[in-house]
Amino acid sequence: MATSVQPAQAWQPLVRRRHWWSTLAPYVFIAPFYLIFLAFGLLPILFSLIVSLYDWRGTAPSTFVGLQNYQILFQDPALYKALWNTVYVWIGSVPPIILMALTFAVLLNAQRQRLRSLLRTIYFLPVVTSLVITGLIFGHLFSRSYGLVNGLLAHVGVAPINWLAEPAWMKLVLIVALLWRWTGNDMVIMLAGLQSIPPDIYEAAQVDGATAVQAFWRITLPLMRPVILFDAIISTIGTFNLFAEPFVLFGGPGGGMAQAGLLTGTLLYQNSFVYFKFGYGAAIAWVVAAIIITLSMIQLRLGNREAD
Amino acid sequence: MKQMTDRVDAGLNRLSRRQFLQAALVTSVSAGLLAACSTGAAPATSGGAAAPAAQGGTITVWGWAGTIEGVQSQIAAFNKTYPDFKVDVKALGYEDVHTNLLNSIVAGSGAPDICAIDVLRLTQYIDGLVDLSDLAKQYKDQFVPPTFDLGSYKGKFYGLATDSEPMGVFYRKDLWDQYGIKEEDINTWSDLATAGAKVNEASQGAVALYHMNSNTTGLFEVLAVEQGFSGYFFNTDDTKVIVDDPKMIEAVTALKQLWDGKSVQRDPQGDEVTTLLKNGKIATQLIGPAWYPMTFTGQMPELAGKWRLMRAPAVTKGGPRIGYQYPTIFVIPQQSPAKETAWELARLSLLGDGARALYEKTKVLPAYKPLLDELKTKPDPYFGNQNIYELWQAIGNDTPPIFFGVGFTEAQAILGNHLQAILRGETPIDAGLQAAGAEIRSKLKKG
Repeated sequence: MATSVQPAQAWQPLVRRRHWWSTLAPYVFIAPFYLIFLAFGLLPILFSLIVSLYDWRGTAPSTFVGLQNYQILFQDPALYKALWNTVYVWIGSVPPIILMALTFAVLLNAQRQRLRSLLRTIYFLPVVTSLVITGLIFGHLFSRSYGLVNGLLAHVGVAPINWLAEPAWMKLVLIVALLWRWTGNDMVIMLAGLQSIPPDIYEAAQVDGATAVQAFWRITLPLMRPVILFDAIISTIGTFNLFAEPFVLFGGPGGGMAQAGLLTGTLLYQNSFVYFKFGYGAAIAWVVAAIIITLSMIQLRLGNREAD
Repeated sequence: MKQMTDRVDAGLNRLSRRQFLQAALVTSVSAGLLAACSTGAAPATSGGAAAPAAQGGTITVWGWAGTIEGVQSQIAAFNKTYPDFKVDVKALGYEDVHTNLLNSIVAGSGAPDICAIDVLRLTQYIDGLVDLSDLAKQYKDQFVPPTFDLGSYKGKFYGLATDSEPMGVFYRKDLWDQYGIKEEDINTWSDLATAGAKVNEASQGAVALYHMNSNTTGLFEVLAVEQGFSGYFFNTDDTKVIVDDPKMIEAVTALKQLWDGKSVQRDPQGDEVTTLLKNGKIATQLIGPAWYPMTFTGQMPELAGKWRLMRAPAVTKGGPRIGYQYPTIFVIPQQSPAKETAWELARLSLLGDGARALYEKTKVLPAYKPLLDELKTKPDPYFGNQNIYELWQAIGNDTPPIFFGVGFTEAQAILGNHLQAILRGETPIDAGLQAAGAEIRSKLKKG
């Protein structure tokens, strides 16, 4: 008996050691991400919260001002202008982009699509095109005196439009630029979602006599809901942080004429890196973050409710 | 520089100017200065023959194309006196230079030994810069007015100008002749607005006498200097905002008259201005800084002989006809371990041969007086052999000491937004300027 117990006792420390390691191992493996996130994500985020409580301009010493930056911010007409412009662009661009991306993805996902790779590349090209080039192209397309768009409109008797200096048209140009640039990106996400739907489901529907349209509404759309929701949320975040397109199109972060191209992303940049008002810029960042979180939660809630 | 349009101003024009401003600044201050600023640095001798520092190292210079070429031209000369020092000149983007300098000053390390900055942003950095007053003062006479004083703020001196940027008005003489407009008849901005009617009628609207952008402050800045406000948006001790002063209401009334004129290309965008100027669809360039001829010669060489330069009109007849933009200056960050040596390189680059090399590379109006004295005797074929350098110098001489207060760029943006509403008729002039003044005071915490 004693001899039969001894080996088990001998193995016990090893088992304990293995148990200890198997408990700890997952944490060790994922630790690098958290360490990096802590250093380059969480700490800067918390630091920006502290900075937002200071009046810190350029190289001058900073002064603790409590919530004064937020008080000034909520009275700043530029904030409301930027929010209005951003919401306008968000509504004007995100739903059409999702719709077009889904449409193109469904078409590209068709079984008999021979040119799938070529078309996918073409749709994705704007995403990898230099923003400077994009700015130049759109600047020339929408030039009042020599632009292609006004040239075409002139054939139907429309007087030249100053697309890049009239506030309403400026936002439209920005939306068009976003549609052109980001539809391909979202299409790739949608395509990945479509390809994860098992073909058996479509085959079963076909056997049951479902048409292609019925299959889209009854199978594709419900199963794509999580992907669409994900896309909507990242697009919302992207719009509220949008910087490069308005910067390039309207000649800097100021938003151009009547600040029609001033978005929350460019407002933040302008205050932080042109005026060097770091405290104020951090306050803008936190207000924008709160808005993004709220909108994302609303979208999640709506998405989940529909799923239920 | 602001007057044109804001996109041209903020974009193409600024870029062009910077390309032109190439090289250098640094010339002047020779010796001594850094003794006060650096530990153990030997005082430099006047005139530049400072003793080499005891230890070697690298002098790093940051700038953008158009500011660094003067430094590059003087590396060999510098190394004759400082053989143990290597010079590392880095050409960065305009925004990158300014952002990186700030980041490095805030971080406490990484700043260059010499850095080019736009003078209008000087106050954003002054707590991290070396006060060069003692070193620089002996060179004041070698700089054309008002360039030397530009690098000063509240009694301290931080940087030497690479160039000078007086402003005038450029016009197409052939087109003015064609439409019966004479330079001697244009004394006020109002005269110019009135002359537009002739052009509009004779050309049936095909040609605009001038162009304007509603949301840029370029013309406002010219008018502010003409009205005696050499701090543009602020008073001379940088404590008060003057944009809604009665004199500026008077000036903006003249601006509104210009905007409402009969022959105006309003709010052109992007490269539209250049194309329209080139095609003869616009006859006058109202915002005409001294660097602008590079745009003409670079993009419109075929128009040689047709352009002329004149003084900016006055707000009221007999009033000052002046204007000034924002040159580049070279500064030395406090972090530099070799401030004295950096000063020597800067001085070499901005005075004497350094200034000449910079001019040869960029053709931008020099701040170095002996060079401008030479140039002002030479007629310019592009301008129909007009002696434009003499006129630039005269405008500069008439310009009061210019300075750029704290929050200049922010005030500029705020005012631009309100100015746009005023010119487009959405807000009365006085109410619009008062709103602009209130917003600037609130955000910049000034009186």
